[in-house]
Amino acid sequence: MSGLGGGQFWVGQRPSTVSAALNELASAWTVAMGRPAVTRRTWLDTADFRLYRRGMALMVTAGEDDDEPTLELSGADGPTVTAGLGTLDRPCLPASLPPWLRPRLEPVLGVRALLPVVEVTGTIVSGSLLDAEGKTVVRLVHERPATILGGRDRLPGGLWLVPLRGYAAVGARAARIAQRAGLVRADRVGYPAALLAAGIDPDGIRPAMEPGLPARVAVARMLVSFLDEMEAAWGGTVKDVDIEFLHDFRVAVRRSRSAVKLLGDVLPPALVAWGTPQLKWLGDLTTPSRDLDVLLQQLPSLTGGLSGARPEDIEPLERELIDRRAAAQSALVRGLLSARFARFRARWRASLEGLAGWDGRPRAGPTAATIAIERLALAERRVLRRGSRITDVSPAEALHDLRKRAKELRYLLEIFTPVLGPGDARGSVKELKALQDVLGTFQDSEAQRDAIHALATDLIARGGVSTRTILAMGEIAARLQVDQDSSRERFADMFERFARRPVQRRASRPEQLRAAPTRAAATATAGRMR
Amino acid sequence: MRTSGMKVVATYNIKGGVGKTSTAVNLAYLASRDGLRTLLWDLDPQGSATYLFRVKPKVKGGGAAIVAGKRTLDDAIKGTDFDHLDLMPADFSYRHLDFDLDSRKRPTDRIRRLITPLKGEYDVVILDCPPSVSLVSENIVHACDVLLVPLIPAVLSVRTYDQLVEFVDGMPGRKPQVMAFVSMVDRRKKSHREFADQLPRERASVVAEAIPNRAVIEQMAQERAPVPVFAPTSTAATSYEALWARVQSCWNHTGR
Repeated sequence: MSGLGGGQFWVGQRPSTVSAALNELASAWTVAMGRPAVTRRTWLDTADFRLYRRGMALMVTAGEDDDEPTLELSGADGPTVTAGLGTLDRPCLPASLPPWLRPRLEPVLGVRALLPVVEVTGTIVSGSLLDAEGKTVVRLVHERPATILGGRDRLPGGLWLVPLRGYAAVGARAARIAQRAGLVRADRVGYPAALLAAGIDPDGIRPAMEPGLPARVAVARMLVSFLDEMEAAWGGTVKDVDIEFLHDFRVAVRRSRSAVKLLGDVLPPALVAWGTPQLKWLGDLTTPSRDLDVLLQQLPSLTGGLSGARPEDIEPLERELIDRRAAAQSALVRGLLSARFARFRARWRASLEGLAGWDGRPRAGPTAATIAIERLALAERRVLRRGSRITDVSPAEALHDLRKRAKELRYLLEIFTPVLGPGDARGSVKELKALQDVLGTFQDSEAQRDAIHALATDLIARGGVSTRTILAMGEIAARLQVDQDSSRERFADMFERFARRPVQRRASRPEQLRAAPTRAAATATAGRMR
Repeated sequence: MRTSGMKVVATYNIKGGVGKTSTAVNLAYLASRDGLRTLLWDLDPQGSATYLFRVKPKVKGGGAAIVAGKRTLDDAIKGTDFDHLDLMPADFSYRHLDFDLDSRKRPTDRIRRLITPLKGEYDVVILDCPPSVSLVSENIVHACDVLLVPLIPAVLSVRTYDQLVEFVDGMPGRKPQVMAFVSMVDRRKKSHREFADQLPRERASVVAEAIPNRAVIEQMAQERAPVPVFAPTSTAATSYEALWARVQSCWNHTGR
């Protein structure tokens, strides 16, 4: 990402180096600099840095005067686009983006909201290098060191050299002069530089689990990292910034529950006995809101192209879902702001952090590698056993149960990625994910159909709903039934593929793992469970 | 702001000195000011538009290299002092453009094919054409969506315009929307006022947005900038703004 389109950012050891470079440039061209302007630059992104990960940056620039702030979108593979900001909600959901921005950003943002990530205030002086005709050949932007809001560090200043189209040779000459004057080309500019200066690391990875760690320490550290994820998603869930915060919160809760269930025997029994119902409470607390989020999100595709329904027939259903979602959100927020949740956070963290320390000396009991192999084998056997029993006439509960076991296996694979090696884990997760997708569609279709039936019953009982709305809901339920039937048909094939390449055959290599018990495996978690 | 697909506007008249270049330069500036990625191609070997934007009137290999495809427009385009506005400079060799075009296959379609690859890069291309009836003019008519014709307030200019409309109507294949406006109107003269008021009523393709004959337009050569840059509140600037709005409404309504 170059920041200013086609330009280069040059920085010096001292702020005076830029002035020296400008003096040198003035010997070859006329340097015309404008008036210094104090500007506030705010980079926006989603909580999980979706723009950053795509090499994009979205910056709002506001001056001291009353001029309208400008919004600038730059992308790794697209031109920089600048426009007047107008109004932009903060947080801003994709649906409320300005029309020129929405098609560019919606595919990247998905359902996530844009939030201010880094805000800096500093002085910027714009100018030009003019040739003998008085024509601009290179644009100059002198950024003085800027203050980061809420931070101690400063965003380093420097000089942008932006040659105009057709003046690349002039730009190259200007760059050589800048270099001779003591400036060096910055390798990180714009948004990535601002993130670095603000101490934000979007590429930060979960602490690696070393195979030789005592199992208790490894599991405690893992649970601490899940608690970190819960806390990171807590604020956005309470404020209802976007529906992914709740989703992230739930994923962290589910991972914690699975870890406690499958690996909890290495933790103190009293802690497991206390933590298990707390985590279940959090799971139950968050389920109604999440189910309604999913249903509302899928409503356009569920209602698109219904044969007998008009948009106004769907409206009562949508209104009802929105009302129910608001009620569920209130209950969720009450729970997340409750003393019970505060107590859980504090005690769970204190207990786990007390277990997570290790001085490196050998301890009695299993290592992370040992339990990885053992528990993966156990979890996989469960999936294979339950899956092989499923036939075309098995009750839906059997598939639901298999889905839960498959999730547990998936979590274990993700948790033990550093122990297994990323290649092994990725390959295993791929087939498992395909199986999970089928099982997920099967269960979600059923849950949504049941929800539609329950809603229809309520609406009829309350009265005032049109027959056409009820018929539309019937059609939606029928579609969901078709989806569920189709998932069941695909299940056998997906399960066979999974069973043909068992996780253990590739992942379980005890000799290798035991031979290298202290191998540092700083690898990112493979394909997170969504 | 974006248009649906690249739009090509050509300022053209058989006669010289009627305000083609002033119109091309000011409309190109206004388009870029609206945020549209704009290219102005100065096809006139005199290079007046190129001079106004302070760019050297030089294209490596000349018009022949461009027409022959030995050099692309991309190689020769220059950025101007204004955001979103680029210039394809004039070159004195453009005086031989007819000859260069004639030596190619499908000579009347060459300019259209030269600008087609710029579709993803520009929203608006404005062609500032030399005054003549030639292969270059025929190319321009084939290449543009809107043929913008400045008419000076004189009876003979209407006669020439009618000939142009007849020529375009008789052209095979794709035709541009022909839009004329009255240029260099001196409101102190009764004949000019009557001309500028009546002609749009008599001919549907002549729009009511006229450009006055003002000293500020002459000053473009001294200032070397479009009128709205150095005289933003002048009558001339507001007249060009009105004309630009009219051109845009033309392609918004016709989908051109």
